[in-house]
Amino acid sequence: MSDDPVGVPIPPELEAFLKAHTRTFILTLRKDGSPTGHPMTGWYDEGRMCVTTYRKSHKTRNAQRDDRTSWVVLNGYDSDDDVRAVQFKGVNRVVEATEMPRRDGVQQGVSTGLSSRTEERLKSGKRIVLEVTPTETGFLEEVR
Amino acid sequence: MPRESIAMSNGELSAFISAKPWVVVGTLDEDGSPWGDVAASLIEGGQLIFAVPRGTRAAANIERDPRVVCMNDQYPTYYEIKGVTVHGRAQRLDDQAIAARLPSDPIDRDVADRTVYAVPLDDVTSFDFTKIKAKV
Repeated sequence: MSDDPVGVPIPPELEAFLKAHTRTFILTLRKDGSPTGHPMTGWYDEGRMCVTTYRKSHKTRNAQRDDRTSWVVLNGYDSDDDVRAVQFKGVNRVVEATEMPRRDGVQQGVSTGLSSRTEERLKSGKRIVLEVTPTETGFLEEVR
Repeated sequence: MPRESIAMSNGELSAFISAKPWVVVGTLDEDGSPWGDVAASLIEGGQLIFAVPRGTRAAANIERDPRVVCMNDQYPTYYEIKGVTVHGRAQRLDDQAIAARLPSDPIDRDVADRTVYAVPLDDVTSFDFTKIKAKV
């Protein structure tokens, strides 16, 4: 998708998890350095996690001011009794995208109408792609 | 025309978090960058209570810098998305009765040695997409 910072290698088991799950919590930093968070639908793309979001959103502006981030990817919305999560800590980057990227695994609840609206807003520049290149990653049970 | 509010009321917010057994907790590493974990949680006395296992990076981070963010969401369908994000300073709680009421740690159900923290619900953002459904 972009000309690219190089992230740490993603082991196969981790990659399989990230390809299978889209429930994502993005942590960014407010102006005062305190943490804030953004529940999102993300997707995995060749070593990075990505979302689309509004250019004027808090998360975009936070990422542009301070690119340090951590994304937590969980195994879905119906797994309160069997939670598994991956930490994807690294560097955020705002990427211009004029068409909807291929979003492997993103299906739940996203209608054709919503997808086309998102694509229109990418074309108009109202939306961007936010992606994180990992400097550190792993299943939470192993890295916490 | 002003944008409609899709924020939850205080009652809706408490009910939403109370129905969830955990929150994603963001803390700050030593270099000031964010770190995420998942922690058992409940609502009590107008505060969000959560617990992290001792010895974890999240626990060490909070002891060094108590600024945290806690959040959860749901996504049955697009127009039923809800989410809550709570910012604040985590205050350590040494109340065994509250600790006993917390659910098991969501990542390691066998862990018993946890530190309990409280965050007041006074810096909260929320969204409830059911509130825009009528206009779609």
